[in-house]
Amino acid sequence: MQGELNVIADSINKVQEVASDDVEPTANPVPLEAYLRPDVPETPLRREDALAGAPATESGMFVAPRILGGEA
Amino acid sequence: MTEANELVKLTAAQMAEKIRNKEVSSRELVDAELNVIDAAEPDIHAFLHVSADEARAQADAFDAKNAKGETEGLPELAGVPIAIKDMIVTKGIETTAASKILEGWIPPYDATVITKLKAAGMPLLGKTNLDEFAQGSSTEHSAFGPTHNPWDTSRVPGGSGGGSASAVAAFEAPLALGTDTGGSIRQPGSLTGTVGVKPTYGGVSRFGAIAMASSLDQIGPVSRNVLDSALLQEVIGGHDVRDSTSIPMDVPPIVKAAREGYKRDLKGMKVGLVKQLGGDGYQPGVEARFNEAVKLLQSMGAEVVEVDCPHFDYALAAYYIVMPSEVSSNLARYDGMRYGLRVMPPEGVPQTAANMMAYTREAGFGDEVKRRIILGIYALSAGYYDAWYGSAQKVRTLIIDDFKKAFEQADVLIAPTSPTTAFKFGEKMNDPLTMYMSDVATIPANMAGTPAMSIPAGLSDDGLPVGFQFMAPQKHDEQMYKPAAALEAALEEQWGGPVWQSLKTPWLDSAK
Amino acid sequence: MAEKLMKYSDAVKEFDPVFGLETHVELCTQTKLFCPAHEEFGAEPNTELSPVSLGLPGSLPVVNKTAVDFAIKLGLALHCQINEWSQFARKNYFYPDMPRDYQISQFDKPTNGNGYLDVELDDGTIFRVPIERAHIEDDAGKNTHVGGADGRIEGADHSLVDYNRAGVPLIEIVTKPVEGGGDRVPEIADAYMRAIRDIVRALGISHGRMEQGNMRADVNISLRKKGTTKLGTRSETKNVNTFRGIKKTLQYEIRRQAAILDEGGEILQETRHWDEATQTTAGGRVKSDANDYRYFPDPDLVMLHITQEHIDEIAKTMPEMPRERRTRLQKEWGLTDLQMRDLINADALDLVEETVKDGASATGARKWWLGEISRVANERGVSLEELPITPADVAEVEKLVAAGKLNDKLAKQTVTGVLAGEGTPDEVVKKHNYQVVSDDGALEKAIDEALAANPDVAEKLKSGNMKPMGAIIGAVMRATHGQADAKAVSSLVIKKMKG
Repeated sequence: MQGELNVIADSINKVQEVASDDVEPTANPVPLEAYLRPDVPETPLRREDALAGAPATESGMFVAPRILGGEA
Repeated sequence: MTEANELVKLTAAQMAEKIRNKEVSSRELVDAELNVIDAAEPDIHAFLHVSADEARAQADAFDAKNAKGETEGLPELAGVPIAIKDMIVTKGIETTAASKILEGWIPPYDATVITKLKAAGMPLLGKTNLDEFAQGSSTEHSAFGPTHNPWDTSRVPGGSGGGSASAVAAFEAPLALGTDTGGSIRQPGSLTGTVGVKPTYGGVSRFGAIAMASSLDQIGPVSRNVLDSALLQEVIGGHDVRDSTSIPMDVPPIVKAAREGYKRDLKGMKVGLVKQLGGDGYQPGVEARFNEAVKLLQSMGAEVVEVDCPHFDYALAAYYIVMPSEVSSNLARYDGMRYGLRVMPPEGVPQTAANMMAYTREAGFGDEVKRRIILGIYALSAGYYDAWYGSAQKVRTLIIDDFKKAFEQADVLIAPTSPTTAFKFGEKMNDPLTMYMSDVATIPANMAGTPAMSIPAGLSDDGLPVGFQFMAPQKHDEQMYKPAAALEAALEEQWGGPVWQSLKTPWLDSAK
Repeated sequence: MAEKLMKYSDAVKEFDPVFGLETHVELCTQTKLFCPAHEEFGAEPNTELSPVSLGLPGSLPVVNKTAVDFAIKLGLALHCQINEWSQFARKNYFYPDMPRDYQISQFDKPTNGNGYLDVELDDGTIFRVPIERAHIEDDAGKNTHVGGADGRIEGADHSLVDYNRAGVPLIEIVTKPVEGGGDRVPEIADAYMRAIRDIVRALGISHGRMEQGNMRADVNISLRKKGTTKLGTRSETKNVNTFRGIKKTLQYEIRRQAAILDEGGEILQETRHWDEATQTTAGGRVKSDANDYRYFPDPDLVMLHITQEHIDEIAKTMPEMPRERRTRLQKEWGLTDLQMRDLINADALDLVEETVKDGASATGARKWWLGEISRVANERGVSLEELPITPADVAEVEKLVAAGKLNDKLAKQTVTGVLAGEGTPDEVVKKHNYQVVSDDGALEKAIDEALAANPDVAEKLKSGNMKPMGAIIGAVMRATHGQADAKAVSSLVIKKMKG
C-alpha cells in the first residue's frame, strides 16, 4: 500500500507545481449546460425485477441488517 | 482451414456486404464466431460469458426480417455480430464488471448502446473480460482470471479492455465494444494489433456503462480495421437524453472520413507530433514503427509539425487524483444492499448494516480497486479537496488549453499509443507505478475529452504489435479517422495485407 | 434522566436566542428529480423505481425540468437571487436507504441564494426572516425497523427498505441565523414554517403536508448572553415534522441551554432529536459534524443554466402570494382582523375558501370549520384536513339548510354522521331519514295536539302573549322527533291564533 500512497503523494506535488490560483478547474471536459427532462412518468421497473438482484428481501422490501449496534 | 474460418477473418464491413447480398446469413456468422470462441477460449479467455442462445435468436430474428425485406433503413452493419465488454449493462445477460461483488447480477435494463445494437439487428456474442471495474492495464485484475494475448499467450493483452481486444484479434468476433477511461480501449488495441477508438467524451451515451470515473469514461469501438470502427461508432453514437453529459449533436461524418482516407491523399493536412509523448520510457521497437509510420503520413502529403503540450507531463499525476476520486464515489453503491454480493461479519462482530457493508466490500473487491477507492477517499476529504481534487481539475484545464493550442497548429495529433509492446503476465503486477505508465500517452485525451484512436503500426523487433495513436479536436472525430484510414491502407500495402497475417492462429485450425 | 431546565421567561431575560431553520420541502412533481419514475404517497413498496432511483450500475441522473421550475418559483416567492449557473454535487455517505450511497445535492453553487421572508405574528407584527439559500436535492428511501419495540431503530433486529421515496425532489430552504427574535423566537419559527407551508401550497409546488412528510425541518438554536456579541454554540435538532414540535423544540432548547450556560457549562455542538412522547429533545446518536461527506461536483451532471428569459417566463405564472390573498379574502368575507387570525391559526383558511367556492356562505363555512369540526379534530388530536369531511360536504350541508331541508339540529347531526365516516351528507341524511317535517297537515296535527294538551298556554297565545310559544314548539319537536322546522311551527301557531 505504501507504494500506492506514494503515487498520490507524488501526484499531488506534481499537480501543485502548475495548479495556480488563476487557473479555473474543469469538472466536465466538454462544456455543456444541463438538458432538462420533461416531467413525464415512464413505466417503472417491475417490483420482481427491482428485487431480483437483492441479497435478501422480505415483504417486497430490501432487507438491511440492523442499523444500530456498535462499531466493528 | 475451413470456409467458416475464412468467414471470421472478413472485416465487419465485408460481412455486412455478404449479408446484404444474401451470400451469408447473420446466423451463419454467429455460428462461425461461436465455433471460434469454443476453440479459442481455453487459450485466450476473452469472454466472461458467451450468450450463444441470445446471439442465435437475435441472428435468426434478423435473418427472418431480412428475408422479408424489412431491413431497409438499418445501419450498414446490420446482422453483424459483436462482443460487449462486461462493463456495459445487458438486460437479461449477466453483467459483472469482472468483479466478485457483482457476480451473478442480471441487469433489468439495457445500456443505450445495447438498445442501439439490438435495433440494428447486431447479435450479442457475449461479455468480454476486463480488469475489475475497468481498473488496470493488463486484464490481470479480473476477478475471473486474465485474458491472454493471441500474439503470445504468455503475455497480457493490455487493459482494461483486454477481453474485447483479444476477442477481435483472435477472430472470436469481428467487432467489440470497450470503455476507455485512461486508455482502456486504445492500449489493448495497441498490444493486440487491433483498432480501438475513444470517441469525443459525450459522443456516445454512457447510460448503462458501469461507471468507473464518470468524467473520463467513454464507450467506443474495437475492430480489426478503421472503417469497421467508423461504422460501429456511427451505430452507437449520437445524443441520448438519458445521459446528461451526452453532446446534443449528430455523429460526425466519420464513415465518410474513413472512406476518404483510404484514397491515401493527405495533402493539406497538418499532423502534430506531440513532443511530450515519446523518448524516455518508450521501447526502441515502438519508436521505430512509429517513426516509419510518420514518414508514410508525410509521403501521402501530410505536413508534420512538432507541437508542444507542456502540461501533458502532468496528465498522469492529475489522472491519478481525479480518477480514484470519482471511483471512490461511483463504487460506493456496491454495499450489499440492493444487488450483488453480501457478506455478513463473522461471529463476534456486531451484525450491523455498516459492518455488513464493510465485510462485503472487503470480500468483493480486488486489491487494485480497493487501492483506488482509498486513494480517492483521501483525495476528496475535507481540507484536502482544494489541494488535491481542485488542483487536478485545474491541470485538466491546462491540458485542454494545450490541446486547443496544438489544434491551432495541426488538424490531428499523433503519438505512440503505448510506450511498450505486450508484457509478460506478472511482470508489472507488483509495481503499480510501472503499470500506470502504460497509459501515459493515452490519458491526455481522456483528461481533455478529445477523441483518440489506436491503429496497428506493425510489429516491434520482439514480434509483437505496436500501436499508433491519433488525437482529434473535441466533436471532430472525423479528423482522426481520415489519416488513420490512410495510414492503415499505406501500411497494409507495405505488408501485403493486414497486420494479422503474421498472427499464428492454432485455435482456428481446431475449430469445428 | 431529566435535564435541568431554566424557566422560559428567565431564560429569555438573560439570553438572546439566535435560531436557524433548514426546511425540507418535498416537491409534487410527476416524476423524481433525476429519473422518470413516478412517486405517490402510499404506493406499494418498491413499485416506483427506475434503474436510476435504485442506483443500479450504469444508471445516470437527468434533471427534471419541473423541479427546476418549482425551485425558481420558490426562489421568486422568497425574494432570492436566482443564480444563472448552479451545480449539483455528491454528498457521500452510507446508509441503507441511500441507493447510490451518495445524495445529489447542491453545495457551493445553489440555484437560489440570499432572500428573505416576511412573516406575520399573532398580533400582526411583521418579522423578516433572512434566507441563506434554497437548493435542490433528492430524497432517500424509507427504513422500517423490525424486531424492536414500536418500530424504533433502537433494539431492532433488522430493517426493511422501500426505495420508492428515493430520488423524490426536495428543496432545502436554509435561513441565515435569525437574530432579534427575543422571547418570541418559537412563535416566529412557527409563523415562518406556516408561511412556507402556505407559499409552497399557493405555488402548487408541494402538498405541504407535514403529517405526510412533505415538510420537515432541522432546528438550530444557540444562546447569546445579553449585552455580549459572541454567538454561543448551537444545537441542531433534526427532522422535526410538526409545527408544534418545532415550537416546542425551540422552547425546550432555550430552557435547556440557558440552564447549562447559567451554571457556567458548555453547550455541545451536537445533533439532537425531538421526542414527541416525552416532549423533550435528546442528544443524537450520530454526530453529523464528524462526518466528512467528501462533496465534489457530480461528474454525471453538467452545470444547470437558468436564463433570465426562463425566470421571466416562470414569473408570469406566479400566483397570488398567501399574505396578499388573506388581505383580499378578509375583505371579501367582511371579517375582522381577529376573526381572520382565528381562521388562519385553526389552519382553516384553505378549507373555508374551498367551502365558499363550493357554494356556502363565508359565515356558514366559518361556523362549521371553526365550530363543530374543529371541536372533533381537537378531540381526535388530528388536523382538520385529516378528518373525513371535505369542503364540498360542508357546502352541501349548508345548501340543505338554506333550502329548509335541514334545521340546525339535523345539520349538526348530519355533520356528525359524515365525521363518523357514514358517507356524504346526502348518504347520512338518507340513512337516518333526517328531514324537516314541512308537511303542514302533520305539523298542524301536532300543534293542535300540543295546544289541546296545554290549554293555559293556548289561552295566553290567543290573548296575544307570545312568550310561552317555546313550550308549544318544544312539544311539537318532541312529537316529530326533532324534524320540525321551528320557524314553520311558530308561524303556523300564530296563523291559528289569529284565525
